[in-house]
Amino acid sequence: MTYEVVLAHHPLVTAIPFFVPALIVVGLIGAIVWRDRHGEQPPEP
Amino acid sequence: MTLLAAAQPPAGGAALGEVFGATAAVGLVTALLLGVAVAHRTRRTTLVARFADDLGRRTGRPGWVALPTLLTTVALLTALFGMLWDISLHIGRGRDEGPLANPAHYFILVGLFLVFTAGMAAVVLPLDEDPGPAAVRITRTWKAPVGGLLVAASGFYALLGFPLDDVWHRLFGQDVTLWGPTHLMLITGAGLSLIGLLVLDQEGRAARPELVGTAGRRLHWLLSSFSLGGMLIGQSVFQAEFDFGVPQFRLVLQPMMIAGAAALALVTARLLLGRGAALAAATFFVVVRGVISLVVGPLLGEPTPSLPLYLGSALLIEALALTPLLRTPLAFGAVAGLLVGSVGSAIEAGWSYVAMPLPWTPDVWAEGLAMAVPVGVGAGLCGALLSLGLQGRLPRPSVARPVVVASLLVLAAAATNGLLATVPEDRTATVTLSPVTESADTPNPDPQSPDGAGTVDAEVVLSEDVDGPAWVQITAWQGGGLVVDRLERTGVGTYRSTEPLPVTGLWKTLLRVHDGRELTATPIYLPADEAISAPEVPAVTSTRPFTQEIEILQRERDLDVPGWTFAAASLFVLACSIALVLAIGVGVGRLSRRLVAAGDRPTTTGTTPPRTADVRA
Repeated sequence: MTYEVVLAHHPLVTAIPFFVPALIVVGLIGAIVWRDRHGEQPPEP
Repeated sequence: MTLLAAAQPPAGGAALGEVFGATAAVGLVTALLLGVAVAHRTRRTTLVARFADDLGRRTGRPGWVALPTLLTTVALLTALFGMLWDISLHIGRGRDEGPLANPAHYFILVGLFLVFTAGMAAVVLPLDEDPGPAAVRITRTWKAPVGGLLVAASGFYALLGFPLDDVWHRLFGQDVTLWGPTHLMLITGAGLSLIGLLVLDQEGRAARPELVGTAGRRLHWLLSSFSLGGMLIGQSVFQAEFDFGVPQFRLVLQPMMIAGAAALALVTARLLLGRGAALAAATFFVVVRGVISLVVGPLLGEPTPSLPLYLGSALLIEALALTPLLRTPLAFGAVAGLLVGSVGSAIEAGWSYVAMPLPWTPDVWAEGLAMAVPVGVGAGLCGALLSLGLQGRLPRPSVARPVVVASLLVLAAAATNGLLATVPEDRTATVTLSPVTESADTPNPDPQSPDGAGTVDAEVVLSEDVDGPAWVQITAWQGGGLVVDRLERTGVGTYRSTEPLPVTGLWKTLLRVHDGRELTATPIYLPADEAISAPEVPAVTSTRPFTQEIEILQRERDLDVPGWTFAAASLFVLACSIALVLAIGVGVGRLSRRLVAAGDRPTTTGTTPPRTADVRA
């Protein structure tokens, strides 16, 4: 029996599972730091 | 831009089903972790804090050190197992059918993701206290330990290696070698996270010194020694090709790498933690690596990696620490590195004849020593600086910086020398093959041919004799196992095999010669490979020219790509690695300065007798 496998032909797709979540977390921390440095309310009490 | 294609090539691109599955799983875990982190920092839950603090009480650390330490330990052991399993799979079975098609890759990726998670846990956990004197301000009410940031940065860097690895393979083909630049990113990131962990531990000690005694100083000492053993493990992953017996680089690099790893980790252990710590770290290395080797080899049925011993170097450092030299850490580091690079290398040379697939023959002794000794001295000096930095006793920058820069330059020079290999011109080998008749005394290496059909004996005649070579061997790999047969010399330039050699199916079988700076090979049998448009090299008695090894060992690599692109991509990866090393240097320097400013040095030191006594108590 043969079957067809659909492949991601761009490296960005293979970055999604593990690297992108880490990048999102880093981005969130960066956004919190930016907001704090620019005088807005910090995101915690 | 074409993202998808309906095709089934044996390499190039992950199957979308695997991408979706992994994305869903990691996305869910990330969302959960973020939810817990927000709930913790907004004080909607105390569950995580209570768990971390309880763990901290049991191990004598603040919760924001204890939980990340546990996570990092689990993460690195997971990634290490995955890495060694992955290497053994590539050696035994060849290239992957995509970056997510290999089960070992999941262990690596989950492990590295967990390293990043551990670092972020250290950043998120501290709520009502300053996490040590070197803490970095996130917001007006939130400070993060610098060690946590370094662990997270190391994990992030290692994870970045994964997508870049896919890019790399698309540009240059699948270079089946551990020392591909993006592979080095994965290993470097994971290995350096342990220095971040050591920084974090010292921050915890400085912030909450009263906790050190709660779990018993002996337990604390033991756990810290194991961290240094972990550092030894991390640095030893670079040696894996040699451990398996299929190095694609000159043998002189192995003594250098072992001396460098031993001097850095074991000098740090002894100076930071006191008597017995170097031995404990080396023992931890042998036990962990030994267990993983047994799991990968006999249990999973893949090629078994060997391992360096390190115990001899540990004993040398422990003995040196009995002398007054211990009171001058930099001199101690230099002399320890000298001993490790010379006597330690001699011990490892003996061990290579006992346990390594490719023993260190006299051909590599002189050059191997000439590389191992200076690298050992530099690594010993850096180990001394690291231990001093972690104790708040770093020398002034005008001393520390030149030492680090000089050590890195020595390492770079030695590594470059080791990488320089030549290929002899107009040299051939005549290989005569004869079928093996299976008997009880001739083990069949090919599980695909249970009756032993397709295995041969080989008689080799070199067109020009070699004088005391590092090796003349036939390697067969990627057909379902690994055979490394060091040939028996039968006369001037003539050799014969000592075990059956597989020459059918997917096996790739080649004659390899390494003599001095020469590193070369000629194929005996290579299968046809449609994916890379490579024809079969039939297993017949023939005379074939020697060529550059990577043309055979890295058959999938695209050697037609312009050289400058390979160099540029390598330099980019090198620059990223240097940035991470600098970040760690800055972190250690910051910790040291702040400890001095706060007048608060952590209690573990092997260089100041009263505190060593504390540790022993």
